[in-house]
Amino acid sequence: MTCIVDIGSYIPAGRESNYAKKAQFDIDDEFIRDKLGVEEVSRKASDEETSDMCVKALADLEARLGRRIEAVDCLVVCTQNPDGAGLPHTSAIVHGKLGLPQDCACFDLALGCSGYVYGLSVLKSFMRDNNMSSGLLFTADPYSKIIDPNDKNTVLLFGDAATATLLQTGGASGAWVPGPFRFGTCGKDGGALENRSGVLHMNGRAVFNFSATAVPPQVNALLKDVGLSPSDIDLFLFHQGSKFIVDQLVKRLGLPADKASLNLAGQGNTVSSSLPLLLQGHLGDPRLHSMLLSGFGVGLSWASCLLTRRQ
Amino acid sequence: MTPLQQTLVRIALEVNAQATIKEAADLDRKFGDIGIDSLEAMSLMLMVTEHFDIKIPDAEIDTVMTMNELARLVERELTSLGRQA
Repeated sequence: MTCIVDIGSYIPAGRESNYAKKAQFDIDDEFIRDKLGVEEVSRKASDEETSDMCVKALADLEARLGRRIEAVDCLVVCTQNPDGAGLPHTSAIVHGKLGLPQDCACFDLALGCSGYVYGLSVLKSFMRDNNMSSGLLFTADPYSKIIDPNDKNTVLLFGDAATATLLQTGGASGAWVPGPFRFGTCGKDGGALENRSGVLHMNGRAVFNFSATAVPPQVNALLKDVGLSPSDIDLFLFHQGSKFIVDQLVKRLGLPADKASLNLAGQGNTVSSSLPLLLQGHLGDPRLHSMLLSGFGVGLSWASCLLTRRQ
Repeated sequence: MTPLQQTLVRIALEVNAQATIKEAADLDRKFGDIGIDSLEAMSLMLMVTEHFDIKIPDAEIDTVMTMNELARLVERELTSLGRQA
């Protein structure tokens, strides 16, 4: 059984305030606060690479654990904005910067907002099939590398962040166990969110329609798989695309508003890092016994999983 | 208001209960002027297409600025499918 031990994070200190862009984009305070839900977006330093962000997320994880992580059996980086042009793979660069032993499997996972849930499943299977005891799942997708500062659709939403999740075979009683999972893809509509010649383009309407219509059936199907209903889940963690889309999902799933967590005001939509950033704040809550994670976006791709406590 | 207009107003008020759609003249006011912002307009369009089980191309949806423009578009789509509003 693979458990989540803990999650470290790194949110760069750089910030761009959406309130400073009200005139440029003809928006008001209410729209920023109640619809986008993003008051400022985080921005990495210009000389900071994706791998650097991963290393800093690991430092936070080590601080939380109170110990160094000097060896793991595998290391995965989920990103679509890798170091340089993606060759070599960013996970190998992170491996080198951390000075990890050579008997460590490293590979990248090229997914966007569904990437964390995919990553949990991939690592869980990979670790089990290869008899591994520990793995690191990094997320780091700094969209500031590809954002057009004059594009209202993207510049107000996306922020930079990285996370590092330590997974371990076994684990203490009460540790969070990911699974089962559900996955979905609609490749024919992938153009709704894409990198065209180095610049991010997003068809907001298409992404909204996809999110609002694809995610609730998957969540319900996952719950049906395990014979649970929404009321059996203590907390729903949806990808933090915007406050508006999270509110829509809550409404469409018929959930009480306080059953869905929100934390994007201070950094924005951090793509594959949004779920682990959100989850980090709830891991230690003794009141929680079950959570449901759902990530959706680039692809178009969506993935959901349960998290339950190990008995 | 026609039954179609009444249905659209009901859906719009589901999207934003504070929208100011009180009389027929409001149906010709721009969404922003009746309290429906751009994100709510997206939600409205989705709910309308789901309610009537119709598909409207993005290029046409993007031109819709008022409730009456939406009503005409929906009516046209329903007519093309041989259905009544």
